[in-house]
Amino acid sequence: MTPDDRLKAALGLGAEPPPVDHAFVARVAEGIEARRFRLKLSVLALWAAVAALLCWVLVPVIEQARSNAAASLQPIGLGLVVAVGVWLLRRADVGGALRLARRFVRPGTF
Amino acid sequence: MDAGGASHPTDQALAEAAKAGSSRAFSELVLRHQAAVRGFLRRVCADPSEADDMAQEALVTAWTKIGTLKPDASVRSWFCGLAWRKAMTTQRGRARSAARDRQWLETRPEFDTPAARDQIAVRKALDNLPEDQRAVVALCLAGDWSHAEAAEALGLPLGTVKSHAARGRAKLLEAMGEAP
Repeated sequence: MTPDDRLKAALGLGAEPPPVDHAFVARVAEGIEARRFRLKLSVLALWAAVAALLCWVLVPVIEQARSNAAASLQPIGLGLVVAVGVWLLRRADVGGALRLARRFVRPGTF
Repeated sequence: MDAGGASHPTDQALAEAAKAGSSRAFSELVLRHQAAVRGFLRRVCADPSEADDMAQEALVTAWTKIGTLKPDASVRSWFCGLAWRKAMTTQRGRARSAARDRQWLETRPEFDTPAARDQIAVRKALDNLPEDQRAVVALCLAGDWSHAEAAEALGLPLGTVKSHAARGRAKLLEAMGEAP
Protein backbone atom coordinates (compact mmCIF):
# COMPACT_ATOMS: atom_id res chain seq x y z
CA MET A 1 0.00 0.00 0.00
CA THR A 2 1.54 3.31 -1.07
CA PRO A 3 1.45 6.35 1.26
CA ASP A 4 -1.14 7.95 -1.06
CA ASP A 5 -3.36 4.84 -0.88
CA ARG A 6 -3.15 4.97 2.91
CA LEU A 7 -4.01 8.66 2.86
CA LYS A 8 -6.94 8.12 0.52
CA ALA A 9 -8.27 5.28 2.67
CA ALA A 10 -8.00 7.42 5.81
CA LEU A 11 -9.75 10.33 4.11
CA GLY A 12 -12.54 8.20 2.72
CA LEU A 13 -13.19 5.97 5.73
CA GLY A 14 -16.86 6.35 6.67
CA ALA A 15 -17.28 9.52 4.63
CA GLU A 16 -19.14 8.19 1.60
CA PRO A 17 -22.90 8.76 1.58
CA PRO A 18 -25.09 6.42 -0.52
CA PRO A 19 -24.86 7.25 -4.26
CA VAL A 20 -28.68 7.30 -4.53
CA ASP A 21 -30.62 8.60 -1.54
CA HIS A 22 -34.26 9.45 -2.19
CA ALA A 23 -34.87 10.21 1.49
CA PHE A 24 -32.27 12.98 1.40
CA VAL A 25 -33.78 14.39 -1.81
CA ALA A 26 -37.20 14.37 -0.12
CA ARG A 27 -35.75 16.29 2.85
CA VAL A 28 -34.33 18.91 0.47
CA ALA A 29 -37.73 19.17 -1.30
CA GLU A 30 -39.39 19.65 2.09
CA GLY A 31 -36.89 22.41 2.92
CA ILE A 32 -37.69 24.13 -0.37
CA GLU A 33 -41.45 23.93 0.35
CA ALA A 34 -40.88 25.37 3.84
CA ARG A 35 -38.87 28.24 2.42
CA ARG A 36 -41.54 28.90 -0.24
CA PHE A 37 -44.19 28.90 2.46
CA ARG A 38 -42.26 31.43 4.58
CA LEU A 39 -41.78 33.61 1.51
CA LYS A 40 -45.48 33.44 0.65
CA LEU A 41 -46.39 34.23 4.24
CA SER A 42 -44.13 37.27 4.32
CA VAL A 43 -45.61 38.53 1.01
CA LEU A 44 -49.14 38.04 2.38
CA ALA A 45 -48.19 39.86 5.60
CA LEU A 46 -46.83 42.73 3.55
CA TRP A 47 -50.06 42.93 1.51
CA ALA A 48 -52.12 42.82 4.71
CA ALA A 49 -50.08 45.68 6.16
CA VAL A 50 -50.51 47.74 2.97
CA ALA A 51 -54.27 47.05 2.96
CA ALA A 52 -54.59 48.02 6.63
CA LEU A 53 -52.68 51.24 6.02
CA LEU A 54 -54.88 52.02 3.02
CA CYS A 55 -58.04 51.43 5.06
CA TRP A 56 -56.75 53.64 7.86
CA VAL A 57 -56.00 56.43 5.36
CA LEU A 58 -59.38 56.04 3.63
CA VAL A 59 -61.61 55.81 6.73
CA PRO A 60 -62.41 59.58 6.88
CA VAL A 61 -63.15 59.64 3.13
CA ILE A 62 -65.37 56.55 3.36
CA GLU A 63 -67.20 57.96 6.39
CA GLN A 64 -67.82 61.21 4.55
CA ALA A 65 -69.02 59.41 1.42
CA ARG A 66 -71.28 57.14 3.47
CA SER A 67 -73.01 60.02 5.20
CA ASN A 68 -73.40 61.86 1.88
CA ALA A 69 -74.62 58.89 -0.15
CA ALA A 70 -78.27 58.28 -0.60
CA ALA A 71 -79.67 55.33 1.34
CA SER A 72 -80.52 53.57 -1.94
CA LEU A 73 -76.82 53.52 -2.97
CA GLN A 74 -75.61 51.84 0.23
CA PRO A 75 -76.37 48.22 -0.85
CA ILE A 76 -74.36 48.86 -4.06
CA GLY A 77 -71.42 50.11 -1.97
CA LEU A 78 -71.66 47.04 0.26
CA GLY A 79 -71.75 44.79 -2.80
CA LEU A 80 -68.63 46.45 -4.18
CA VAL A 81 -66.76 45.99 -0.89
CA VAL A 82 -67.70 42.28 -0.79
CA ALA A 83 -66.67 41.81 -4.46
CA VAL A 84 -63.28 43.45 -3.87
CA GLY A 85 -62.82 41.38 -0.71
CA VAL A 86 -63.57 38.12 -2.56
CA TRP A 87 -61.25 39.14 -5.39
CA LEU A 88 -58.43 39.88 -2.92
CA LEU A 89 -58.97 36.56 -1.14
CA ARG A 90 -58.82 34.67 -4.45
CA ARG A 91 -55.61 36.48 -5.40
CA ALA A 92 -54.07 35.73 -2.02
CA ASP A 93 -54.65 31.96 -2.53
CA VAL A 94 -55.67 31.47 1.07
CA GLY A 95 -56.63 27.85 0.38
CA GLY A 96 -53.15 27.11 -0.96
CA ALA A 97 -51.54 28.82 2.03
CA LEU A 98 -53.72 26.79 4.43
CA ARG A 99 -52.85 23.56 2.62
CA LEU A 100 -49.14 24.41 2.90
CA ALA A 101 -49.53 25.36 6.56
CA ARG A 102 -51.22 22.03 7.32
CA ARG A 103 -48.18 20.24 5.91
CA PHE A 104 -45.83 21.92 8.36
CA VAL A 105 -48.09 22.13 11.39
CA ARG A 106 -48.67 18.42 11.76
CA PRO A 107 -51.11 16.97 14.31
CA GLY A 108 -49.41 16.62 17.69
CA THR A 109 -46.82 19.33 17.00
CA PHE A 110 -48.41 21.65 19.54
CA MET B 1 -39.29 14.23 -17.33
CA ASP B 2 -39.99 17.86 -18.03
CA ALA B 3 -36.43 18.86 -18.89
CA GLY B 4 -36.22 18.80 -22.62
CA GLY B 5 -38.15 15.56 -23.03
CA ALA B 6 -34.94 13.45 -23.14
CA SER B 7 -34.86 10.15 -21.21
CA HIS B 8 -31.58 11.13 -19.55
CA PRO B 9 -31.27 14.91 -19.82
CA THR B 10 -27.97 16.64 -19.22
CA ASP B 11 -27.32 18.68 -16.09
CA GLN B 12 -27.55 21.83 -18.18
CA ALA B 13 -31.00 20.88 -19.53
CA LEU B 14 -32.19 20.10 -16.01
CA ALA B 15 -30.74 23.37 -14.70
CA GLU B 16 -32.58 25.31 -17.41
CA ALA B 17 -35.83 23.52 -16.51
CA ALA B 18 -35.23 24.26 -12.82
CA LYS B 19 -34.65 27.92 -13.65
CA ALA B 20 -38.04 27.87 -15.38
CA GLY B 21 -39.56 26.64 -12.10
CA SER B 22 -39.49 22.84 -12.41
CA SER B 23 -39.08 21.35 -8.93
CA ARG B 24 -38.82 17.91 -10.48
CA ALA B 25 -35.79 18.90 -12.57
CA PHE B 26 -34.15 20.39 -9.50
CA SER B 27 -34.84 17.22 -7.48
CA GLU B 28 -33.18 15.19 -10.25
CA LEU B 29 -30.10 17.43 -10.01
CA VAL B 30 -30.06 16.95 -6.23
CA LEU B 31 -30.37 13.19 -6.67
CA ARG B 32 -27.41 13.17 -9.08
CA HIS B 33 -25.08 15.30 -6.99
CA GLN B 34 -26.10 14.79 -3.36
CA ALA B 35 -23.38 12.17 -2.80
CA ALA B 36 -20.65 14.55 -4.04
CA VAL B 37 -21.90 17.44 -1.89
CA ARG B 38 -22.41 15.33 1.23
CA GLY B 39 -19.14 13.44 0.80
CA PHE B 40 -17.27 16.73 0.45
CA LEU B 41 -18.88 18.25 3.55
CA ARG B 42 -18.40 15.05 5.59
CA ARG B 43 -14.66 15.26 4.94
CA VAL B 44 -14.57 18.94 5.78
CA CYS B 45 -16.80 18.86 8.88
CA ALA B 46 -16.02 15.57 10.66
CA ASP B 47 -19.59 15.13 11.98
CA PRO B 48 -21.58 13.33 9.22
CA SER B 49 -25.04 14.32 10.49
CA GLU B 50 -24.02 17.96 10.79
CA ALA B 51 -22.49 17.76 7.30
CA ASP B 52 -25.74 16.33 5.92
CA ASP B 53 -27.77 19.11 7.57
CA MET B 54 -25.45 21.68 6.01
CA ALA B 55 -25.71 19.97 2.61
CA GLN B 56 -29.50 20.10 2.87
CA GLU B 57 -29.45 23.83 3.72
CA ALA B 58 -26.98 24.53 0.92
CA LEU B 59 -29.18 22.73 -1.62
CA VAL B 60 -32.27 24.64 -0.48
CA THR B 61 -30.25 27.84 -0.95
CA ALA B 62 -29.24 26.54 -4.39
CA TRP B 63 -32.93 26.33 -5.34
CA THR B 64 -33.46 29.99 -4.43
CA LYS B 65 -30.31 31.02 -6.33
CA ILE B 66 -30.70 28.73 -9.36
CA GLY B 67 -31.26 31.78 -11.57
CA THR B 68 -27.65 32.86 -10.97
CA LEU B 69 -26.17 29.58 -12.29
CA LYS B 70 -24.31 30.26 -15.53
CA PRO B 71 -25.43 28.12 -18.50
CA ASP B 72 -21.96 26.60 -19.06
CA ALA B 73 -21.10 26.11 -15.37
CA SER B 74 -20.81 22.67 -13.79
CA VAL B 75 -23.79 22.04 -11.51
CA ARG B 76 -21.74 19.78 -9.22
CA SER B 77 -19.08 22.47 -8.77
CA TRP B 78 -21.74 25.12 -8.13
CA PHE B 79 -23.50 22.96 -5.51
CA CYS B 80 -20.18 22.22 -3.77
CA GLY B 81 -19.18 25.90 -3.86
CA LEU B 82 -22.45 26.88 -2.14
CA ALA B 83 -21.99 24.05 0.35
CA TRP B 84 -18.46 25.17 1.13
CA ARG B 85 -19.57 28.74 1.80
CA LYS B 86 -22.36 27.45 4.03
CA ALA B 87 -19.86 25.26 5.89
CA MET B 88 -17.45 28.15 6.41
CA THR B 89 -20.13 30.33 7.99
CA THR B 90 -21.47 27.60 10.29
CA GLN B 91 -18.26 25.76 11.12
CA ARG B 92 -16.31 28.60 12.66
CA GLY B 93 -16.18 28.32 16.41
CA ARG B 94 -16.86 24.59 16.45
CA ALA B 95 -13.23 23.53 16.27
CA ARG B 96 -13.03 23.17 20.04
CA SER B 97 -15.87 20.65 20.27
CA ALA B 98 -14.39 18.72 17.31
CA ALA B 99 -11.04 18.51 19.13
CA ARG B 100 -12.83 17.23 22.25
CA ASP B 101 -14.61 14.54 20.21
CA ARG B 102 -11.28 13.48 18.70
CA GLN B 103 -9.65 13.22 22.12
CA TRP B 104 -12.49 10.99 23.28
CA LEU B 105 -12.14 8.81 20.16
CA GLU B 106 -8.42 8.37 20.77
CA THR B 107 -9.10 6.86 24.21
CA ARG B 108 -11.56 4.24 22.91
CA PRO B 109 -10.00 0.75 22.56
CA GLU B 110 -12.13 -0.13 19.50
CA PHE B 111 -10.38 2.63 17.59
CA ASP B 112 -6.92 1.24 18.30
CA THR B 113 -6.40 -0.28 14.83
CA PRO B 114 -3.94 0.96 12.18
CA ALA B 115 -6.74 2.18 9.89
CA ALA B 116 -8.55 3.98 12.73
CA ARG B 117 -5.29 5.51 13.96
CA ASP B 118 -4.61 6.78 10.42
CA GLN B 119 -8.10 8.21 10.21
CA ILE B 120 -7.84 10.02 13.55
CA ALA B 121 -4.39 11.40 12.68
CA VAL B 122 -5.61 12.59 9.27
CA ARG B 123 -8.77 14.07 10.78
CA LYS B 124 -6.69 15.99 13.33
CA ALA B 125 -4.29 17.25 10.64
CA LEU B 126 -7.20 18.11 8.35
CA ASP B 127 -8.85 20.22 11.07
CA ASN B 128 -5.59 22.12 11.51
CA LEU B 129 -5.30 23.02 7.82
CA PRO B 130 -6.38 26.50 6.67
CA GLU B 131 -10.00 26.46 5.45
CA ASP B 132 -9.25 26.75 1.73
CA GLN B 133 -6.54 24.11 1.92
CA ARG B 134 -8.88 21.72 3.74
CA ALA B 135 -11.53 22.17 1.04
CA VAL B 136 -8.99 21.51 -1.74
CA VAL B 137 -7.75 18.37 0.03
CA ALA B 138 -11.33 17.13 0.50
CA LEU B 139 -12.11 17.63 -3.18
CA CYS B 140 -8.86 16.73 -4.94
CA LEU B 141 -7.25 14.10 -2.70
CA ALA B 142 -10.33 12.41 -1.32
CA GLY B 143 -12.93 13.17 -3.97
CA ASP B 144 -10.83 12.74 -7.13
CA TRP B 145 -11.79 16.15 -8.49
CA SER B 146 -9.47 17.78 -10.98
CA HIS B 147 -7.66 20.94 -9.87
CA ALA B 148 -9.67 22.94 -12.41
CA GLU B 149 -12.99 21.64 -11.06
CA ALA B 150 -11.97 22.44 -7.49
CA ALA B 151 -10.86 25.92 -8.57
CA GLU B 152 -14.28 26.50 -10.15
CA ALA B 153 -16.19 25.23 -7.11
CA LEU B 154 -14.19 27.16 -4.53
CA GLY B 155 -13.63 30.29 -6.60
CA LEU B 156 -9.85 30.05 -6.22
CA PRO B 157 -7.12 30.52 -8.86
CA LEU B 158 -5.85 27.25 -10.38
CA GLY B 159 -2.29 27.83 -9.14
CA THR B 160 -3.54 28.31 -5.58
CA VAL B 161 -5.52 25.07 -5.76
CA LYS B 162 -2.45 23.17 -6.98
CA SER B 163 -0.24 24.51 -4.20
CA HIS B 164 -2.97 23.88 -1.57
CA ALA B 165 -3.28 20.27 -2.78
CA ALA B 166 0.49 19.69 -2.64
CA ARG B 167 0.93 21.33 0.79
CA GLY B 168 -2.17 19.63 2.21
CA ARG B 169 -0.99 16.23 0.99
CA ALA B 170 2.44 16.76 2.56
CA LYS B 171 0.92 17.75 5.93
CA LEU B 172 -1.48 14.81 6.01
CA LEU B 173 1.24 12.30 5.06
CA GLU B 174 3.44 13.75 7.78
CA ALA B 175 0.62 13.31 10.30
CA MET B 176 0.40 9.63 9.30
CA GLY B 177 4.14 9.25 9.83
CA GLU B 178 4.93 9.00 6.10
CA ALA B 179 7.63 11.08 4.46
CA PRO B 180 5.89 13.39 1.93
